[in-house]
Amino acid sequence: MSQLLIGLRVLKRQGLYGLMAILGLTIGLAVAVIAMLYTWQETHYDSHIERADRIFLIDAKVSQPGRTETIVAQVPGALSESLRGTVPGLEDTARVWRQWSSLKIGDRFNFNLPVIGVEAAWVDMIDLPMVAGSSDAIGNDLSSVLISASMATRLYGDVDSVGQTFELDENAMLVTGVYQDFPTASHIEADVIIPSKAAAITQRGIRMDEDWKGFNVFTYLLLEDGADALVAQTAVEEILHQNFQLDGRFPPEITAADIVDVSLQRLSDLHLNDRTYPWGVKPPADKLKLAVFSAIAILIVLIACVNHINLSTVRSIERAREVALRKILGAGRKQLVGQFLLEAAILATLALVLALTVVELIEPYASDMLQTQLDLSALTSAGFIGWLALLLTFVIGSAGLYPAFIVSAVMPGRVLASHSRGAKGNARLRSVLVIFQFSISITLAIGAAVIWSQLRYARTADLGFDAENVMMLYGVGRGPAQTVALTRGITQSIDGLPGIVTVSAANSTPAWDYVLEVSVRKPAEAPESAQTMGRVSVDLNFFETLDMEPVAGRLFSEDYGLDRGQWDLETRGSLDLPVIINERAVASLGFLSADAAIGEQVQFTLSAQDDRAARIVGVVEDVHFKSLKNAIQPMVYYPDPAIFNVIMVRMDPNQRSIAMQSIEEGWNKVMPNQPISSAFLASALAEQYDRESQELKTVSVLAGLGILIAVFGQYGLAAYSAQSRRREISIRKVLGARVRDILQLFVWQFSKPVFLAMIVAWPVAFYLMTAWLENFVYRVTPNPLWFVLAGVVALMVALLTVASHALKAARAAPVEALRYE
Amino acid sequence: MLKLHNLSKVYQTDEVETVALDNVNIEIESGEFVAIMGPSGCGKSTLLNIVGMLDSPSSGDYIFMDENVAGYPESKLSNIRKQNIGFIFQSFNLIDELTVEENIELALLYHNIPASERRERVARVMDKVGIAHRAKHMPSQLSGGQQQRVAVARAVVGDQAMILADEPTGNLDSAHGQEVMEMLQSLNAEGTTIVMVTHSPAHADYARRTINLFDGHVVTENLRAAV
Repeated sequence: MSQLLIGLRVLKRQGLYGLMAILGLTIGLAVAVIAMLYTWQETHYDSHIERADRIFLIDAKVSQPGRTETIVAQVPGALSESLRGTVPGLEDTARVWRQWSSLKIGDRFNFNLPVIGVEAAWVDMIDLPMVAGSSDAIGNDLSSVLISASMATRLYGDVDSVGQTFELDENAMLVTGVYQDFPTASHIEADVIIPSKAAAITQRGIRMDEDWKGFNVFTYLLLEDGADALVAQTAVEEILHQNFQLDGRFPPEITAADIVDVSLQRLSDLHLNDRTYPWGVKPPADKLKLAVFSAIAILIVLIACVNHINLSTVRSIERAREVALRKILGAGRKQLVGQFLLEAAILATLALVLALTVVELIEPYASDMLQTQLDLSALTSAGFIGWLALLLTFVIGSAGLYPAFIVSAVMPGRVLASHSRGAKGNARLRSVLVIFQFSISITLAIGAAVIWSQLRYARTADLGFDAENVMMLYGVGRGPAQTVALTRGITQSIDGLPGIVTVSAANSTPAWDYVLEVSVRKPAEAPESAQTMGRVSVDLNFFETLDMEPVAGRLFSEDYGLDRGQWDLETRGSLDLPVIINERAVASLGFLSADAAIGEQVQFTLSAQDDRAARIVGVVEDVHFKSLKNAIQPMVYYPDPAIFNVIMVRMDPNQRSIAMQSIEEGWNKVMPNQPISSAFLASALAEQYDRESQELKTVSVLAGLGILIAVFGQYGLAAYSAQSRRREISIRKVLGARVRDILQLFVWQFSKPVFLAMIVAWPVAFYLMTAWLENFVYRVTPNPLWFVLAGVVALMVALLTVASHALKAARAAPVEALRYE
Repeated sequence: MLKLHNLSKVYQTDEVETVALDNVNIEIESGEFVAIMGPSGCGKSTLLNIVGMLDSPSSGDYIFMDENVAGYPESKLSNIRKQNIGFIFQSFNLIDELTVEENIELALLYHNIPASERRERVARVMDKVGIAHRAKHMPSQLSGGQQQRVAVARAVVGDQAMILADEPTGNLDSAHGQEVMEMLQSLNAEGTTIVMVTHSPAHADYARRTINLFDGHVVTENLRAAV
């Protein structure tokens, strides 16, 4: 107890050093805890499901000739039922449908809400934890719905919402159960669960649950304890290959086995499997991010520990006398080591408590930066507490043992007789550590500069079209005939209203980073030599809306029967398809010039069945239809109103608010029951780089923290150096050195490691940032100025930090130090 | 060379007032060799520090080369000091991290002397004190006597008119002590003024005059005939 009191008193007496030691350690530990939370979360996906190691999601790798290979988490809907009784070790199967629905309570709408339709077996499989009501009705009652606790609170202000009703896609639903929200670490997320039979199983006239043609249904398997997953996988694949219907979409020599590979993904491993699905399952753990962030966190903890060691060593100069006296009074070395360790433990524990508080406070920012939702409940799980205890032990050990042993080894006679410093420590090791600290900070600072400048470039680059003042309206995609009617209705209704310049529809926008593909060849060429190009289905006014000019030929227009004819779904098959290609497509098809391509015929092949004769009517310049991460590809623009799903409106920049009223008015005339869902093209384009701007935040914050902790360390070292060089400084002063000369000494002493750090950091930063920039096809080249600037900033910070100690040391009267040495 | 007139030094802490020097009057001529003796705590070192301008008197005058420097600020004192005064300490006070050569050069470093001339002068003075063969050694590799010779070299390399020696032989055995005393004597013979604090009457005998201090007062001054 008395040792504890002494420890606390020592801490209090240390004043600034104590404060810096605690602050540095707190920052380091807070970063470490966040990194641990993140790592814990990413490695414990679906751990809330008891049988996660026996549950498998079936995924399929689809490699169609002439198309980019894709892996999807869905399989044909009929597969599930045909597995029963044939797959060895199979205990159960369950299917999940995903859809977007609109939810209506009274006059409140919730549009485009993700909903899953599930079979009862799935609810059992994943142990859906109920907080009110029960999940029993989901198996048989078509109008029964389960909602998440947060959804219940949002809709009804109360978790217990059993018995409430709402309309889902115009069907009346009764809430029969409320479940606990899926945790962040769950491969799937849904706020509304409906019975599979109530889901939109019939799509485009096809019963998905009996279908063997498309990849549409998420299918889960539960294997028996000890069953061999590979044996099951082979069996599942065989059944799929036997039953899959190619339906004449491919040449006859191609079989299902040629284009589909099935694999079973164990739920407990799913998140770490590096398999990215286009949708439906959360993206896999970003292992690089995990590794980089953990590495930086470990480095920051190490830096914090190093600082603690340095600060303790400085303190030991002052405490050498205390230790010597204690020894003379009979204290054994063990007791002294114990005392120092206890002090380190008090400090570390205090710092950890503070760090946990800090983590609670900054969790939203940290989640934002890591682009996840950090689950703080992990903090109370036994496993995680174990890791925290380990971290604490490491910090106490590394930061406490060194000073404990060095200082307690002091020879009492020498210290008391001479006033000399007690422990000297290893100066070279310390300067290596300082170089290390600053290299990290400088590297991070350069990283921040490079990311910032690439972001600025990406957001201000000339994309080839005018994205300003263009509004996009979502939610107009339906079945073919309905889509044509709906998009025509809305565009015509909005067109001509005040503030509106042009209106058009399309099946994609430059902000979606997504275009479909098509094979294009000259009619005389063999199908094998066809070129894969991007395709966008566009309305007649599309190019005017985006302000794109023709390079040769014409744009689409109402004036041409060929163009207009594409809107008649019955008869358009007899017409040529008019297409407009970009300049890259001109080159890749081998035309000598844009003009030479005009009027030429090409084959426009979507599948073996869907192979149309197309005529090139115009050529437009190359624009960035995808983000700058992708090279501009050869593109074909063609009018297929059946697949439109977005409307784009160009507004008069001087009448934006009037235009927005007009858009609402036009929309409501056609779709009074569906609220408008819209976004500006320019801001959606900026959002393409959200990930990068989060990275910028993370890197900047870590750079700042790195520098801050390094500053604490520098401060301690400067204090130490000022102490241990007192005699030398006095001699120099006696020999005529002025304050300025002494300051120069310090400046050089503390600049040298920063210069060395620059030499270390520059190539590392150059290498890392060149690799980062390779994500972008269109990118900036790293400017040498940023490298210099990052170094200069680090240098300034380092020197400002040591300035006060250097000045004090330089001004001290020389006599005393000399007299007592 | 210098003259102390009614010079006092009082150390003041919160409660205690210690009089280290009390109305001291001393005059030292250019070219003299003066020894200051007295028991521990009599004010010898305080006197030497004030004469060496490392400390300022509380009252009285200190006339150094016709200039009353008693109230001068540190920067001005530092300038006069580096032009005129060299120091030799009991504990040598060499810098451990610098070689013999560099330690000696340190005394020229702050005088705006070109590097080539510095090297030349350092070489000359190393020859003079017989330490040239150790030029590249670190102080820790030298014996006590050798270290003190380096310190002497450092004190004279700048052609200082006066050398202040604070128990220069205190850490040395008698043979080495004598060696250092002879060196000081020959420097004095060449015209350097030497003021030396010592406990050893034998070494005090090298001086032409001995000033005895007791409790901050000058007790006796013995002038000796030249040896």
